[in-house]
Amino acid sequence: MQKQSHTPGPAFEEQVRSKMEELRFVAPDSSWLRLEQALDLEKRKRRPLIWVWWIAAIPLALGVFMLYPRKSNPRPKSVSQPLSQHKTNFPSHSESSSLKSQHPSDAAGALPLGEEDKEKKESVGPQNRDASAEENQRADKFFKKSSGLPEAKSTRTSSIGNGQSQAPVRDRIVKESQPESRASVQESLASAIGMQPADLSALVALPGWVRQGRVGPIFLIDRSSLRALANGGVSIKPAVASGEGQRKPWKLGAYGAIGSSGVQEYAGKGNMLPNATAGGTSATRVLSFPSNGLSFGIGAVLEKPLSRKLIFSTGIIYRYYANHLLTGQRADSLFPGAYYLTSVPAFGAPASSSTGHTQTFQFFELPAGLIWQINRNPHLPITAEGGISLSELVGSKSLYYDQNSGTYRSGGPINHTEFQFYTALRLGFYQGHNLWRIGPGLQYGATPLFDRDQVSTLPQHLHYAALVISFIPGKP
Amino acid sequence: MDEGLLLRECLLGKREAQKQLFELFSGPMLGVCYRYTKSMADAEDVLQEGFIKIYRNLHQYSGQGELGAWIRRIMVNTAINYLKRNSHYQAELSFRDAGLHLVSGDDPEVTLYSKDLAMLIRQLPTGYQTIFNLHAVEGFSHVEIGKMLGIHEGTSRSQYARARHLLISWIKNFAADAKTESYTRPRL
Repeated sequence: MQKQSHTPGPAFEEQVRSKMEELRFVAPDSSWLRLEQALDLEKRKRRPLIWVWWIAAIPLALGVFMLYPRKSNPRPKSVSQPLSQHKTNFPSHSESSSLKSQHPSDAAGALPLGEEDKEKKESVGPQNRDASAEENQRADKFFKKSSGLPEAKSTRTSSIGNGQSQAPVRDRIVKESQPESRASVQESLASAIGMQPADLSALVALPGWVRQGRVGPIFLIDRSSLRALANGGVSIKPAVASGEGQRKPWKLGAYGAIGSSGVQEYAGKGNMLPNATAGGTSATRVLSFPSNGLSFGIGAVLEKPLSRKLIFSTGIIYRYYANHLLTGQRADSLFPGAYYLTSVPAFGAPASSSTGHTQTFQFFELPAGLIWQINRNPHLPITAEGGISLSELVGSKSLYYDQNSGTYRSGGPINHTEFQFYTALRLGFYQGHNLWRIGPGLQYGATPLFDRDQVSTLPQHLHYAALVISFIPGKP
Repeated sequence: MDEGLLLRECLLGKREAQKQLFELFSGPMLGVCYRYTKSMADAEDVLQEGFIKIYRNLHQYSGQGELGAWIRRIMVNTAINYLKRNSHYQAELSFRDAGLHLVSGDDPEVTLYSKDLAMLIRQLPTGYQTIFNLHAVEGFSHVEIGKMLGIHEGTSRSQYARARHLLISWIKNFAADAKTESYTRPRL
């Protein structure tokens, strides 16, 4: 809109303007009270909107959280403060030094690990034994798998229990692959991270929650890595390698949809508004017959499994909407309730019979939603999906109904950024390792198509129904 | 309170500041609403709706230009939307290009009181009234009015010419009546 200009007009206009400026009004007190009530009402109405935003924000936040996971095994930082000065419940330096003295540090891992652990466990209490034993079992499983060696009958726990000196599989590999003595590795690691070797031994035996960030940066070291290092082995994370606790990766795939789109008009009478043409009678109305048109979308999707049944989905999609309008002037026929279209009384429009128009809209969409597997069948998953989509208009050819002139006009200020809700019910199947999902989907534009602050038209909302297909390559 | 501070407080949603802003501008804005509507009740409705929009969109006020002018513009737009939306105005709010009426040079001197003149303007058909207010009082050009109302520029011109012609004739009659009937300022 151009700048408001008070151009000096003829004398009459000048006089009118000055007379109007002389007018003085005082708003009654009731005006403010009414306004205050209306403001309160509006505030209450906005609360559900805020909830909608929150609901929408949750999947987005989850997505961000998954995209930037915390590093579980960062590089250890050296700390100047000895471990024994940290206020924890693990053994003091003097206590843990006794552990060092019990270790045959001069022998290359000669002491069976079972005994070593036994001593450690005795020093840290019984509650840690279960966790340690569990981890050892996982580690041994992994080593058994990776080395191809026969499974050791006695795990570390059993060796502790029965006092046998047979070393578990992992230790045998450690001994074979690492000629360096356990003690020297312990010492070098301890010096690298600014600790006493005995403290390190004690630390290894501590429960995970103590080490993981509660008392200082040094405790962020992964337990299994520490254990392996402290024992003179290599840094391997058995739990991850065996698949337990492994982070599920993002999967990139393709998206396609084809279907039918239309425009939903609101306001009761919808596309039949009072006629504003000269000599209009009650039987004459300007109206349109909207009908659906082609819609399609193509794009890329990113999926991130959140759990066994829940997947976060996002991506970028190019969407094309089309719908048809048949515009004209209503004239009632002899048959009650029936009517037909005559010419469009638009400015500059040809005075002919009804006119057909095809409206097209093109958007880039950024969807964010959740895919929930309804059934339990892993081979044929049925999924229900839902989410919101932030759309940016990239092209359009449209008409809007101008309530003032009673005509359809081209162009019009379309809301460039729109929110849409979408849902779909799809059946999945695997072709090799590639996952296909196919099924019906619906999308509805929550934001009105046209900016009603700028044009006088009915609220219109884009919607479509389509067959939605996605293809996710890779292992299931 | 300083205008900047008042705006900041309003943006924070403080009711006291909102009330102060209302008290500051409600009088002149009620005058704007009054000119576009046919009754004081409608004018108050527009005023309320306009102030809600003002509070909602206050963050869009860039600080360039007068705050009063920005508020006035919102109020005028609100009034126009109100007329379009309400059925009893909608019936009268028809803009037809009825040919251009030449503006005669023998414009009378407006000797009426402001309220009388406002009353006569409000008696114009809604379409005429709107365009007359937008052009003669607010100073919008016909191109701007065309865009605001979604009509052709020529339609705005012709409607304005008709409105002006009608108003001048009413003013003349009113002045003549006033001479014979010892004209005093009427109560509205």
